[in-house]
Parts: sequence; C-alpha cells; structure tokens
Amino acid sequence: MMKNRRKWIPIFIGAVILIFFLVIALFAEQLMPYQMNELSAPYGKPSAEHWLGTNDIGQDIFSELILGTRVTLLTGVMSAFFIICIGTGFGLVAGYYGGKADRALSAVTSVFMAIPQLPFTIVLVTFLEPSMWNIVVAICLTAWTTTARIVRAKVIEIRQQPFVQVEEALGQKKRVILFHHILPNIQDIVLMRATLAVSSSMLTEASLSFLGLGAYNQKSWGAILFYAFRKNGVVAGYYWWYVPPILCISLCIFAFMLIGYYGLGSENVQQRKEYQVDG
Amino acid sequence: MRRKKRMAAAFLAAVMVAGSLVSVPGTRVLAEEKTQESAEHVDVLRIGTTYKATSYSVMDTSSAFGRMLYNSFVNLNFWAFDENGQISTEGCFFDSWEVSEDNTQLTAHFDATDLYWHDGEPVTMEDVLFTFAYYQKQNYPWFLRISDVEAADEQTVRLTFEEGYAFAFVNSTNLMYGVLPKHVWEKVEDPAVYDGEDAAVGCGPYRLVSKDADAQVSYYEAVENYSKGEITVDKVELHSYDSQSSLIMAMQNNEIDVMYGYSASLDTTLLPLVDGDENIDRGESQNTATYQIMFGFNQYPTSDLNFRKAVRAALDYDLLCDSLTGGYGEVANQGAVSPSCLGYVDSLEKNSRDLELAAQYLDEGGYVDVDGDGFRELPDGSPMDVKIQLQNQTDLYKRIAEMLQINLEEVGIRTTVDEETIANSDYATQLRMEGTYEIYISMTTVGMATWGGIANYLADVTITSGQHFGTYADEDYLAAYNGILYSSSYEEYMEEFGKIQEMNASDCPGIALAIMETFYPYRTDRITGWTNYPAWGVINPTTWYTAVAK
Repeated sequence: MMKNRRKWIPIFIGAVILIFFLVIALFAEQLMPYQMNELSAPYGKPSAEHWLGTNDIGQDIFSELILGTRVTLLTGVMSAFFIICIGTGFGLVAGYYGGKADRALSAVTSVFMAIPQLPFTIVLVTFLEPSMWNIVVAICLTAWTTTARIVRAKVIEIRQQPFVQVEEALGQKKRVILFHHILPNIQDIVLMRATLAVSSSMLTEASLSFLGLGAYNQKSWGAILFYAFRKNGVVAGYYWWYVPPILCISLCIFAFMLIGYYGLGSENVQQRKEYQVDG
Repeated sequence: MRRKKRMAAAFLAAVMVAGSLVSVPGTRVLAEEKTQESAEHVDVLRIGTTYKATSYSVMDTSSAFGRMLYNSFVNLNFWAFDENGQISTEGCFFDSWEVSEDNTQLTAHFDATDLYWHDGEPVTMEDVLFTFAYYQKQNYPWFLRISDVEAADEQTVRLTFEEGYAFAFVNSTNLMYGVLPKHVWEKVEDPAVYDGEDAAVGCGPYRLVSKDADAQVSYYEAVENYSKGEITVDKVELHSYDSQSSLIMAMQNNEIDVMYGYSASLDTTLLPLVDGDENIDRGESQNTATYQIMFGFNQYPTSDLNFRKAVRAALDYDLLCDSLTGGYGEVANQGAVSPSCLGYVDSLEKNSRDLELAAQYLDEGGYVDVDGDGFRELPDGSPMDVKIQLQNQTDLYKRIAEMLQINLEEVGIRTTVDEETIANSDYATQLRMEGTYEIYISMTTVGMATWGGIANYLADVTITSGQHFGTYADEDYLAAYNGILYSSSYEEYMEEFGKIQEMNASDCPGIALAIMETFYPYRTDRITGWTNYPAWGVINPTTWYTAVAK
C-alpha cells in the first residue's frame, strides 16, 4: 500500500506542476497584471508594481512570462501531437505489414534520422517565414523518427503474440487488428513518447527563440531569454529578467518527465529507460 | 726597457680609467634619454573591436582592419574630421587644400618627402593621379563627379568638377578614401575580392606585421622616422571580440586598452561594468547619429501631412529615449538632427507626446473610427492598416517597431509590421530604393550625419553613394538639399542645413526618435593624451601622435 502511494507521488507532483502551467496558459489574459501594450519605464527593477521588473521597452516581465507560457506550451503540445501521429503511424504500418512497406518506411526513417535535428530545424526556420506554425513544422520534420523506430519494434513483437495470430486466423481485417488490438497495447509507449516529445519540443522552441529565430512580437519564454541576453542581462545582473523563464522551462520539462517516466503503466523500468534514449 | 713598458702600461691604464670616467656620464645621459623616451612612448596599444578580422585590404572597410582605416592607421586618409566636426589635415595625406571661388576646383597639397609605402616604394604623384583614376574606374560615386585630375606641381594635385562640388567632396570623402600604391593596385581588376598580401600595404603610420586568424588578433608596428610626425605609440594590437560584453570584460582584465567601433557605441546596459572600474573612462560624448522613422510620400496615408503630424504627436518620446539610450540621451527636436551636428538649429520645438493633438490631426484629416472597433478608418471609410518597415533585422529595430505599434494604437492607428523586411534584407532595400515604404525605421549613421545628416534619408534623391532612401520631393526641400551639396563654405552649409531642419519641423517628412550619448570606453591607468572625438571616441587620426605612456 505504502509502496503504491510512493509510486504516485512523482506523478502527482508532475501533474500539479503541469496543471499549474496549463491554467496559466488558458487564463493568461486574466492573470496578467499588465497587458503588453501598457508600457512603463524600461529596465525597471522588481518592485511592488512590477514583481519581475520591466524589460527594455517597459513591458512588465511577469505579464510577459505568463503570456509566454501559452506560446511555449502550445508549441510543445502541437509539435508533440504531430510527432506522435507521424511516428506512430509509420511505426505501426512498418512493424505490422513488414516486407516492402517496412523496408521503405525504415529507409525513410533512417534518412530523416541521419539529419542533425537542431541545425536542420534552425536552417528550416530561417528559410520559412517566422511564425509559431512554421516552428512546429520545423520541429516535427525530424523529431518523429525515434518514436517510429520504437513503435515499429514493439509492433513486431506484439504481432508474434497468439492473440494477434488468432485474430488473423479468424480473418479479421488488418486495419481492425492494427487499431483495435495492437494500438491499445502500445499506448504506454506512445504516451511516454508524447510527454517526452512535448518537453523536447518546448526546449527546441525556446532554443530557436533564444537564437532570435522566433516570430516577431511573439511572447514566449525563449523570446524573453533572447532579449534578456541581447541586452546583456547576465553581465549587467538583470537576474529578474533571465532567471524566471529558465525556471519555467526547467519546471515544465521536469513535470512532463515525471509524468512520462512514472506514469507509464509498464513495470519494466529497464524497458522504460530504453524508450527514453534519445529523449 | 722594463721601466718603459711599465710607464706605457700605467699610461694606458690611466687613459682607460680617465676614458671610462669621461664616458660613463655620457652613457648615463643617453640611457636616461632613452628611458625618458620609452617612458613617454606607449609600448603597445591594445584596441578591442567587435568587427571580425576577415580581410586585410586597404580597399575593404568591412573588417576590423578596414574599419581602422577610418583613422589614418595603415593608410593615410585624404583628410579627416576633427573633434569639432570640421575638416582637418592633421595626421592625413594632404596637408592643405583650397577650393576655387566657383567651387568647381579643388587644389590639394601633400608632402611626400621621405614618405614610403610599407613595402619600401616611395609615394609619388603618380600614385596620387592613379588613385583618383582608380576610384573612378570602380564607379565610386563621389569620384565620378570629377571631370579632370592634373598635377599642378610635383606635390600638388588639382581636381576639377563638372559642377560646384569641390567643398562637398572634401567633406564627404573624409572617412575611407586614401591614396593607393599604384604598383599594387594597377594589376587588380576587382579590388573588392583581392586578398593578396600586398593589399595591406599603405603609407600610414603603422604597418601590418602579423595576424592570428584563430585568435582574431592582428599586430602592427609604427613606421620608423615617420615623415608625418613623431609616432608616440610604438605598437598596436587589434583584437576582435564576439560581443561587447566580452570586450568589456577583456578591458576590465587589462587585456585591452580601448574600445573602437564605427557608429557602434557601447550598449548602455554594460555601463555599470565600466563605472565599477576606476581605471576605465566611459569615453562619453553626444552622438551625431540618430534612429529615425521616414514617411513614404508615395503611399497613402503617410503622404498626408495631418497623418504624419498625428504620428509625431502620438509617439512616447520619453519611453523611446529611455529604451534606445538606456536613460543616457535626450528627446530630439522637430528638426530631427542631433545637437552635435554642425549647423544644428536649437530653436525648434522639442518632440513631445500629445494624444489629444494627435487625435485632432487625425480628425482634421478625416480619419475617423467608423465601425467602432477602436481603430480609425481612412477618409473614404475603408480600413486603415499602415505598414511599418525596418531597414535591417536587428532586434533593436524590432523593438522600435513594437513601441511604435503600441503608441499608434493608442490614437486608433492600426499598424502592421511588414515581417518580410525582418526576414529578407533584399526586400527592405528594394522598398527604400523604389520608395514604396510607408513608415520606415532607419538610422542616420555617424558618417552620414557629418554632411547632410537626415536630409540624405528624407529627400527624394539618389545620394552620392548610389543609395536611395527618401521620398520627400518638395521643391524647397530639394533645393536646400542641393544647397548643401553645392555649398562652398561651412557658413553656406549651415544655412542650408538650417532650412532642412525647419522644413523637417513644418512638413514632418521624418522623425528623430532620440538623441543618444555614445560610449567608447578606454583605460586611463597606462596611457594618457587621449582626445575623445564626439560620436567617434579616442581612437581617431590623432591618437598615434598624442597618446603617451603615463
């Protein structure tokens, strides 16, 4: 009983953090003490009026941080959604059908795997018009490969199971077997990959925005960091400007990791570790 | 015999002792002189910059080496501006110049006695004549206005212009133009790409000794017995840094003595670091450069005076000033020129925010919020959405755009930032070359500010560098601009420049967003004798002859 309760503590902590950020993202406008068009004196230090001071154009950093939660989370969740859809789809088809389909899809996966993810994403975002959706596209193009590989391997394993062979012997449609019998059996992997994909996508978005490749005037945690660093925040000691977004990014990723790692139904920790290789 | 030998030996010894007694004080005097000399001379001056060390050619001013050419460093400039913003020949190639009464002839004298190129060849009139012909061949706009170049005597060159450009020519060719060694460049067809070792040969006070591409450092040595004067800085090191913060930290660690940058002052967020070190001077002076917005007269509603004046009244200048200058600046007046520019008119009204006045101008112009969405429509009732376009992609321009958008929204002007100008610099250039922008954010650089200033960016003319910025084609404005170009004295220049500022105030073709201070810090513990040129810093054409060791 005690052991079971302990197991749920990390999941609970992760869920609380995540819900906290989700609420902030959903009700950002209502929670922001200042709108982004309310400008005060630039470079203000933390005060009762501006808890985290003001940025270089006089915007309230605390409000910016709240608004940034939405963009960062949305980018992470949307990217993860597409990564999982593409990765799981490729993995299911390749793993179940085998043969030419498997060889073709595996070859495609290998090609995309060979592309260095972050540099490719940077190049792509540079060439595309800067926007949140283009960042999502750029992240998704290469990030689905690990999921596809893992799902394929698991599907091949499940395909050998007696219950699948019975279904096939009874003449059940392949589509039904795939989506009604195999997919539910890999949901743990998919969910865990999804949580990891959200956190890695958030990190990529923050990295891109930090490099100044984010969309114009888009408030995200990475964008806050970008301007804090561009204005010599670290050297000049504006810790109230650059520390909060770093903390938010770290906490959010930590929450997703907790849920992804401890929320997985499988008892096989070793297997879980394997799944997490490559993030 | 033995006695004779003894006497001879004693005599020799006495002579040697006496000689040594006589010579020692002499030696001491020489040693003292040498010590005194080396105490005055700066052994090595270490300059830090954020320009990359990419090329070493006297015909390429884009690199760290090239930017230093602005200071008569490896090569001598024809002439240069002094600390008062007027042409000086101190430390420059020509030692005097004269403009004819009709302003069509320029006679310039130089003294090339004992002046040599760094490869040992003497500097001759042939090099001078070749230089003007070569710049013309390369289609350098100012030089294309020269119709004839002749040698008046062995050390005097006479330039004839098709029109009265002589005075403007002197004032516009002070930054990057110097006499070229004919024997090096006559074989080079495309100087922009030439990177031979001899591309770094000049006749300036310093010769390039070596360079370390990995460390981004280049080393220079003063020319011995230099004919232009006594060089007081024996060696110079030029260090390139990735960022201003690393440059300042290097200065704090006593790795460099001074920061150099052209129209790229230290960011004010780094000033606390400088102020925290008692051995570093801020190198503060008022900037001649300004950030500005230009209105497109080929687009509507930016061609409408009511609209332009409404924008001017809607902007929060205190905010812009604090944001752009970090609190080290002042609000500009409606003349849109920095007070440190020659011919500044200080009687014009200062920019100030007045939302009621802005609303009044918009109402008068017929810009009314018809559909009640909080944004005004054009006088014909169609939606108004004004484009803000950026000259370059730096984050500072994006921040200016963001502030403009917020300010204008408060008076009901809907604006959209043209993100293509952020993503594509060619498109931003095309907009200004074709004059199809609406509100364009740009900057008057230090170089441009010295002659014509913001008028170069507002008047609908192709300026002498071949660039086109402005769209304002008012007859009087263009006449005043031409008046600057054809002025034959500083008095004439100031008069015409005054007219420009008055028309900037009345017609509002553009707005200066803030007057900034510049900061080019330097260490004060080792070297003295610095002269801080406004908007330029202590590295200037006189530094090599005036900086001395403490």
